Amino acid sequence: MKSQYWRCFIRLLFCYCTCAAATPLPMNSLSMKGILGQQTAVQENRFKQALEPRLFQFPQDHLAHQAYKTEWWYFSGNISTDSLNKSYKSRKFAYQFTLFRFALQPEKLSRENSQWRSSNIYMAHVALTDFENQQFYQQERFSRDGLSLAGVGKNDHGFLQFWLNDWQLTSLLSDQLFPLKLTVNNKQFALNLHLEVIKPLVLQGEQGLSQKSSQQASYYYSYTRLASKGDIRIGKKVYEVSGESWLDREWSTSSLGEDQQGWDWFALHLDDGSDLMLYQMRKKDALKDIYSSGILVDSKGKSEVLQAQQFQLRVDEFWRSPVSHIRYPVKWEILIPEKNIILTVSTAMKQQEWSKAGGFSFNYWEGGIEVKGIKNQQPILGKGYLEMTGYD
Amino acid sequence: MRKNRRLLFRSSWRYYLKRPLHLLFSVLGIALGVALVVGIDMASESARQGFSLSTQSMAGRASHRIISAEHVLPESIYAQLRNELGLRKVTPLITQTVQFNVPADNTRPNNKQEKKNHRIDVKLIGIDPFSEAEIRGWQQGMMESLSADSLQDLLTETNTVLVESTFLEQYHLHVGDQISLMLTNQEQVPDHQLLIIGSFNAPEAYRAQLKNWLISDISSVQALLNFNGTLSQIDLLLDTENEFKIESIKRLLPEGVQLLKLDEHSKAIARLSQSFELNLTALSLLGLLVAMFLIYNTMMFSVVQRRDLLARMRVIGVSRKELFRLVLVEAFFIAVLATSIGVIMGIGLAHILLYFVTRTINDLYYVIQVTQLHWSYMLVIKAFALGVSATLLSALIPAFEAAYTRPVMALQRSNLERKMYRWSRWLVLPGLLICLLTYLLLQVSVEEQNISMMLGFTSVFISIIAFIFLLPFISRYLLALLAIVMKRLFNLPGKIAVNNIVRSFSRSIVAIAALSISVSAALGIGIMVESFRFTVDDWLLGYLKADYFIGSVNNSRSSQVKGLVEPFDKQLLSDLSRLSGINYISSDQEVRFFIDGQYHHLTVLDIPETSFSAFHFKAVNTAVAQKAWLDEDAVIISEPYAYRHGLSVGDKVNLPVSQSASELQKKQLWQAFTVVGIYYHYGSEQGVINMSRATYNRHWNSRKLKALGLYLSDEVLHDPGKRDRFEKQLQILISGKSLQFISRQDLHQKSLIIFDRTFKITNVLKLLVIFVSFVGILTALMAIELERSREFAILRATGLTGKQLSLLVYIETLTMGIVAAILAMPMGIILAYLLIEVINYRSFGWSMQFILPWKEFIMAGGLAISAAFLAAVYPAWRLSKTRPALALRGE
Repeated sequence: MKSQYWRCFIRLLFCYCTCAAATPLPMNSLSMKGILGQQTAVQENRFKQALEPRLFQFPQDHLAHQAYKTEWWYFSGNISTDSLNKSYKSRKFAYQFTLFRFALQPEKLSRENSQWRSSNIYMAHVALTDFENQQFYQQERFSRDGLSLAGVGKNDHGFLQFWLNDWQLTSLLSDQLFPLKLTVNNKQFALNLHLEVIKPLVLQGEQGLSQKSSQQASYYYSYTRLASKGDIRIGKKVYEVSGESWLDREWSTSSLGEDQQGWDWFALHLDDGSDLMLYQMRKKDALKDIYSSGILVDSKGKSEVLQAQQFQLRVDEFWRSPVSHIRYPVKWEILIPEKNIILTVSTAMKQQEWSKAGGFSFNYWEGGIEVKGIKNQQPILGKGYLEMTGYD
Repeated sequence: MRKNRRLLFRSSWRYYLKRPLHLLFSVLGIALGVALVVGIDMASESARQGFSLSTQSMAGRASHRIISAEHVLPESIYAQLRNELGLRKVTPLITQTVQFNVPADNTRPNNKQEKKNHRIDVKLIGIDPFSEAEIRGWQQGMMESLSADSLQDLLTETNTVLVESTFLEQYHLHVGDQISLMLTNQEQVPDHQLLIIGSFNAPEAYRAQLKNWLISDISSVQALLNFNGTLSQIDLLLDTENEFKIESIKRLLPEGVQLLKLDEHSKAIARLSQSFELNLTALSLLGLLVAMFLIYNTMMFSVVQRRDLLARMRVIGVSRKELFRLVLVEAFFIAVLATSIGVIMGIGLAHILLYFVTRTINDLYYVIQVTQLHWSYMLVIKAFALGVSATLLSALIPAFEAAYTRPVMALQRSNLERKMYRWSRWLVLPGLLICLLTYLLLQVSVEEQNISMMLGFTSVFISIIAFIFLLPFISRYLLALLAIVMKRLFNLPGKIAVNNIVRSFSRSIVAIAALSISVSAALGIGIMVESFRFTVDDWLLGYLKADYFIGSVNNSRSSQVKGLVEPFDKQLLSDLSRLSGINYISSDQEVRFFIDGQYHHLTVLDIPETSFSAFHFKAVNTAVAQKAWLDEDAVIISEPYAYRHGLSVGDKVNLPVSQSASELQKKQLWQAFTVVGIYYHYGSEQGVINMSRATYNRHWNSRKLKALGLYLSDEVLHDPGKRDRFEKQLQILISGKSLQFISRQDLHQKSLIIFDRTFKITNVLKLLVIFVSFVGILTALMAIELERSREFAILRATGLTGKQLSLLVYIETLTMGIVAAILAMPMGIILAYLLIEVINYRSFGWSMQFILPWKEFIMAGGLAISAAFLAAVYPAWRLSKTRPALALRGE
């Protein structure tokens, strides 16, 4: 679903490289756009397209698909300190860890003459939201895959590994994705989480083929609920945390449709044990595209795909970023009449934005959210993650 | 009062206006001297700027650098720094100097040297675009300016480069053009073709450096240069306060790899060429000193010539102060005019000198590419200060002369001459005292090398002053002797000529002094260079023992990456040992340590026992030294190393040895090695520590050999057929390995070629000094002769023929030339001795054999006499043509 990313990605990738990431600099990327537009047409033909449903095979499909241009591993979740300890109020956090792969070539290049020879560029975004202190910690990194500086693969013992420098994800059993250990260590903050499957994998769209526009599609599957436990560090302070995460896996070659502007993506954990994912593709005329979609997973893991016409999204409140001056909707109303669901989505912290003005490569909003509403005439609560792009 | 002054100045103006040649020559003398100083100053300053810019563009914001003792750094360290330590502000780099084949017809018109061979040095730089941003600033704009396809090509295609737009302009190239590079110094290897996939505009400050850089992805550079697995350096931006992080980095580094503070590192490198630059400056000052004599000469001459006029002014009431001021003001105006011309000439000269300076620095110290002259106001101010003050200083005595001659006496010309002649005796004692001072100055030993060097140069300058003091006295006797000789040879004209010189002693002695000083300066430099060359030649003859040497084909001049990872694999070594006709294979490994802000170079040798005789020791029993060198923790050190570090036999050298086995408690261990000998070695001015293979193996593990030496059996060596076959077999063995072999004779030749090349700058300076003096002398002598038109007219009127008169003029200048030449010989030898002491020993720590090359003496004599001869041509011609009555009517 975030397949549109890749275009932004290459457009901005090298602008990033030319500016010091440490200091927020306005990126002068406009000059790149036209040129990159041409590039895509030429280069795309050499890659495979996601055209028809495929037979997924695991654990191989958890790893990289070199023949496709873009791919990602998208972890997000809401975690909090142990609420059993009554002497302290539970502290709430949200986190995001995303690893992107961008292929330079549809096949791996020989490293006979140099280990630096790279077939892919990796990017990672890590963020940690501290709701109590209203702090949003975020970092972005790039690397080539040469010299094992970044990559995806199996180690000698068959454990799956995903890494960009010292930001790493390692499976703890051979040939299985879960349990999975996430390690991110930065000066400002650190994440140390142990992720385990609660619900099985679900294929999105048509058996994992997710149509994004009339021309474009991607392969898309998710682990909607992962038990997450471990510790996080902010500054020098360490918190033991637990909570639930979501993994989205997607790869493709195609880009946004001509008339598409951006999307809004919701991943919600409801406290009756069900999970809801919805995305709406927004057209340039601000209308919902028919290629919007969703999925509802019940507490037992049974899933049901939702078509565009089955749900409605309504904006209740906007917020303007003081950094980028972009206006994002931060309060939503979700209506799924067939399923008797009415939900209000809002956030306890509005500043969960990535912006070029803030020194990052893309403009988007991504962060932890709270859910309140009614399902089957019963009040319901929940937590989740929201991503919004294309508002600039 | 003011009117009075204006009148005075008008008289000066008229004087010079009437004698435009005289004015021209005065100006030319000063201008040349200033040009020399400005030229050298500017060229070395530009080289310095080039170096610091190049360091800056390479280092960017980095605070630290990781380098290897053996010049190549395993790339795995980089992955560890990022993946294990999680460092972000860290970036790798490969740099290598390669030769760019300048496209035909596109050579820059202003550099003849480059035009000749159509090849210039450029830097091939391999970067990782993903980590660059954290460290270096110059690539801002580099990536934006590229199309996405080009970016893709940069990362995935081997033969692609990016260039700064100035590079394209200067060679009339365009994006999409192919360029050809010679990557190794092997002529037979075909050139590589690279594609320019993009250009960018670097920030102004970096442009001068970047215009000779070819930037490519690190993977491509590794592939092109066969540097798989290695880097030149890793630059880091570290929080220097964070001791823990720095310690954890150090723990990660394998043997021979060091983390350095960048400012210390650049300083250490910049220091390498400091002595060389200081020497250049001193030589340029020597040039100015010669020029000062010329100035003095011309100013003095203008006063002497106007003596009548000045005396008359005194009579009509012009005060001494006014006359004094008059001469100084004249001098000032001439100085300003001449310095302006000199600065312009100096800039032109700097263009030529820069080429030589840069090449010498490249040959001897570090690789820089400087094509741009560094221009600063400071430089011009300095030039003016120097030019004007030198002129005023030189004009002081003439001004004094003008002011303090009593009018009556002044009108009697002979008075001054008598006075001067008398004075010459009184100058002897101070002269001798100054000699003693020179001697004492040389005895003062100072620890600080630069001060020691400056003391040395001071002694050079005051020895010249001593010479000036002694010169009139010696000249008197020489002239008396020559009077007899000339009379014998040329009868009356001979006698008159020499007497003329004596009669106008005050003027002629100045010209003789100026001539002999410039000749002796040229002679001194000549003797010094020749002695040095002789010493090196002699040393090479004994030092190179093996019959063939095998080394890497890569340009070894680059201090960044030398050689390959391990060019000599086990297979090659065993193949070589099986080659028939080889008696012994010696090996040479080079290791460098960065200790206390300085590089220390260690050479590890595995040589046959008989070859130890290649080392010539300073007062040590070779056999004892050899035994200790082989069996104990002992080293021998080269003379410059001993000099620079104040070491003598029996002292200890501390070196960091392999770290302890326990990884957790990795701690730097030091081992002391006893110095058992100090040997003559002219290969490195920084000096080297020399260790036997066995000793090295006891403390370190690395085996990255730099070169091999092959000792052949006599049978193969002396049979041309067998030797030919041997060379062919050798070629087959090393083919495809980026190695080349060279015979001892060829290596000897090549070394001398490099020697000559590095001394070219000195020779250029010598020629310039000669040129300055030649012009000066010519003018001075010519002026003297022209001045005497009236006297000659009288002689003509009293019966001398035109021919005889010409002869008289020729004899006069020749006599002065001969006196100057004779005096210049001993002075030249003394100067050479001082220069060798100062330049070679005090600056570089080299002992030198002292030879007196006859060529140089002939050159010096020829210079003095030909200048004297040429000086007579015009006056002789003019005098012989002038009708005496006309000349007598005079002025």
